[in-house]
Amino acid sequence: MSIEQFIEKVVANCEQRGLKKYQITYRESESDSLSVFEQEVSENESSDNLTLQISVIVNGKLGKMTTEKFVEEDIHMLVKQAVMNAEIVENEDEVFFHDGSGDYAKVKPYAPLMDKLEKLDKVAFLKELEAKAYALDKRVNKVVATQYGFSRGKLIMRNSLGLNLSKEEFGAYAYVYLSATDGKLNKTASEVVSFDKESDFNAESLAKKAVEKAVAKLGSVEVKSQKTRVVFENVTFANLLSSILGIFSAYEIDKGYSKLKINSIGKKIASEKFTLIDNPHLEKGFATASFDGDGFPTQNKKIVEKGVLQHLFFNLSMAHKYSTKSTGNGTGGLGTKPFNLYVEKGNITKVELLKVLDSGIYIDRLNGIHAGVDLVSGDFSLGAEGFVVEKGMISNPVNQFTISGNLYCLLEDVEEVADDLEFKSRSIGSPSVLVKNVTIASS
Amino acid sequence: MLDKILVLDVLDEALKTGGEFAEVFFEDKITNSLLMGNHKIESSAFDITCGVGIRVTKGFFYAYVSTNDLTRDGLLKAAHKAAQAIKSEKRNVQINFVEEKFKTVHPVLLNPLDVSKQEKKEYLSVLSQKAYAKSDKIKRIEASVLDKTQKVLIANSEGLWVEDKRTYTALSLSATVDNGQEVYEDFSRKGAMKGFEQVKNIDLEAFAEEVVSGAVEQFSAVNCPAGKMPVVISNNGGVLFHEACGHSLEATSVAIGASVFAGKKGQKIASDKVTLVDDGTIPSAWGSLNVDDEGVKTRRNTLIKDGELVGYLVDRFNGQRMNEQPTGSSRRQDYTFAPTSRMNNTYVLSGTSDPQEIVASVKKGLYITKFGGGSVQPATGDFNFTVYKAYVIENGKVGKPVKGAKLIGNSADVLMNIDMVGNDEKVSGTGMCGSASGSVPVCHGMPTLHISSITVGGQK
Repeated sequence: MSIEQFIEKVVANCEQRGLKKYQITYRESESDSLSVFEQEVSENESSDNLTLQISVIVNGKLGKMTTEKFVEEDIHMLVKQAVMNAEIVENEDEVFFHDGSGDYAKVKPYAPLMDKLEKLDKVAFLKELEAKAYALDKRVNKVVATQYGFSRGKLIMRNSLGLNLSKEEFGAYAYVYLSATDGKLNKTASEVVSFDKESDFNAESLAKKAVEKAVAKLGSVEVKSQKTRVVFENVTFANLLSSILGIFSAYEIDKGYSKLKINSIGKKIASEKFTLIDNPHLEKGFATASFDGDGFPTQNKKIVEKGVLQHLFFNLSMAHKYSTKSTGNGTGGLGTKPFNLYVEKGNITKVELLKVLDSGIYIDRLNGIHAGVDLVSGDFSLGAEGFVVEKGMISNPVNQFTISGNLYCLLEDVEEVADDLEFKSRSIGSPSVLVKNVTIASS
Repeated sequence: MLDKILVLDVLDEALKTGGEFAEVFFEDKITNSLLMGNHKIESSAFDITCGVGIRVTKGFFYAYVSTNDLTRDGLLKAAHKAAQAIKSEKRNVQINFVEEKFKTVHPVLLNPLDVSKQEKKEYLSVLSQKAYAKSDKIKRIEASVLDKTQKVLIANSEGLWVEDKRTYTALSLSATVDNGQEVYEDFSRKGAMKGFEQVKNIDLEAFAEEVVSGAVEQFSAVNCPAGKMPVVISNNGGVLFHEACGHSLEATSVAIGASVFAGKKGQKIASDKVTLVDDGTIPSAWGSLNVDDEGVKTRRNTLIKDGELVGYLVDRFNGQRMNEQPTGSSRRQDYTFAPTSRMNNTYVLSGTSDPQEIVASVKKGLYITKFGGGSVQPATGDFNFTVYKAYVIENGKVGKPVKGAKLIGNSADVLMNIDMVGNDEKVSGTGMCGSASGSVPVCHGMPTLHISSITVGGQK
């Protein structure tokens, strides 16, 4: 039985049960990856995956189930599970399916340069990547991993209210992770490309970026424990941003997992240098999409403009609860998600930003982000790596240290933003950012 | 489960181009979860994960293809795809499956699939009520129950045929408290390789007390002092060893020389007081297994003995490069991941010191009773982790709680700096460890111990 037939049978079962509101979300994904180690192909992985989600709304409550097993005899049980899940929910937050009305933007999401990628000899690319990494600097003691990957996905969403949407998603990358040594200590670095620019097809330049990053860290010194001003490198600030974006979710706020409130909209919550944008329509963006997980049209909006909170992420359910409109940030479940989320770039270059810093620390890596930020209190404490900045110039690398502070204060403490906005193979981006009042600890 | 003749044909297809070894990993898993927030069920989920991963190896190369098209054609196509990556002469391999039978040491007394959502809800209601009753500062209590039932079949070209059923059940509680100025949260999960009896046997009153008091306590917490200082870690802090040396002892990084501990077998990497084991056999422990995901029986592996590195965690594939036998440590999140060496239940054995005397010996330092997550770069040994619960120690006495603490260090230094080890070893934790082959359940353990000097990050 084909998937199409399976879906038809699920729909028929929903109808038989007299369900008025049901939704089918079907995902098809395939991926391939290749690794080279010591000039030999060491791994070749590929996967084909089909997932079907059945969502039902019974008495205003949402019930869902997902399956990867497509056996006709199971259909009755699958739909029943979704209904049982809806029946046990007591939460008063009403949930909704969307009927497909509204304007869906025509979007141009990220895709690799397919013609060029198809012609690329991936094994040769990885071999060159590894060889160049060793050849570029004799302090490179181990190229731990080189990998190429490609993925393609298709999503179909249909519901009983008439919604019928689909989209295709691509992913492509090459990656190198290596370590360099000065004989005593090792330092690691990684670098990635996404094959959407001509320059991404150059293995040597990819190797060079990673090698430069790793060797620059050799000979590191201890930094003094202090409260200081720091510049976060663009990609590093984007990483930090990715761990705190939950504070802008209406759902998280509703549950008390953010210090912001629904009525914080219109209030100043950050420095006036700080503007945060969620643009689902960004050309070639990694999360560019015309509809969200609820099937609702997405919209381009400023979350924070010059320090003032303008929007929160709303899905259909939270929008109903707070008598507002969905911002098109639904997930199809209870939570919300952003699309291409980034800090708006400023007017000065990174070199000028370091001049503004004059003396302090430049941070180009944060460790343990997944665990070190408490969104409820805002307190964070993270492992960090970087360099001393003296007279506006990057000088000695420093050994791993910790940075701590409070993220709600950090947003207020943004002093200046550079113009080097970057999305590094992901949908969250940032320029380099200068922040004051960061506590640094080291030995 | 899959039919033997079909699996035989799949392995045969996979070896067609000269592969030396082929393996089929089949999984059929049901995951159930129920979440109660603010006294009301907010979500209930039921998910089926089902598919096959086919692996073919030749020398230091492997191909891995996963699919959830379980038809004969689908599986043969996947096997064919895996074989395509190898271009050599087919060897004649005669496969005779010998079904390996064993008695599970992780019995399930009450199958969670037989327990109704209604009954599960009752437990969440009682736990929630108990938690709300603990403080008038509570903003929200979230309680959830999760159960996973994973059936696996692992068969390979050497004739191995192992089937197993793994049942996990966990109860979680989170409390958010608000005193008008500050908001704090505390969270705990109690899970085991057991059925629903895991939930029935939890003392809900004590669980509520543990989590709510943990959240409330933070109102009186002061900013953590920063800098290098002596630290005492209670016997709840086993994740230290998971990050500080566990990952760096996995063949995944050791085999290719990308670990600070590669090539150091027989050398001293920790103080004499440290003996570290990884044990996948502890009955019903969250991180245990009967057989690993390559079908190898789990065992108790000693990794560090009296400070000397004596063993690594080894999977079949990386073991070839290292010339070592598998240690029953090969794991994967699900069929979409190729397996690799991972930890199970990692813990430090008891020493001789009295825990109270360890604390009393510290003039000024930090006493840590709960860690959050952390990470490590095996190639450098640099690790970090978040401290959830800690207190200052002054003149040998445990004082005020502190907040916002982080520990960082390098494995090589920190393991050497362990100069007192208590006699109160305990294995606990219901952790999820994320690494090369996905997210897998693990436990940690240790006795109370003293690190003479480590860098503490904080806001003061």
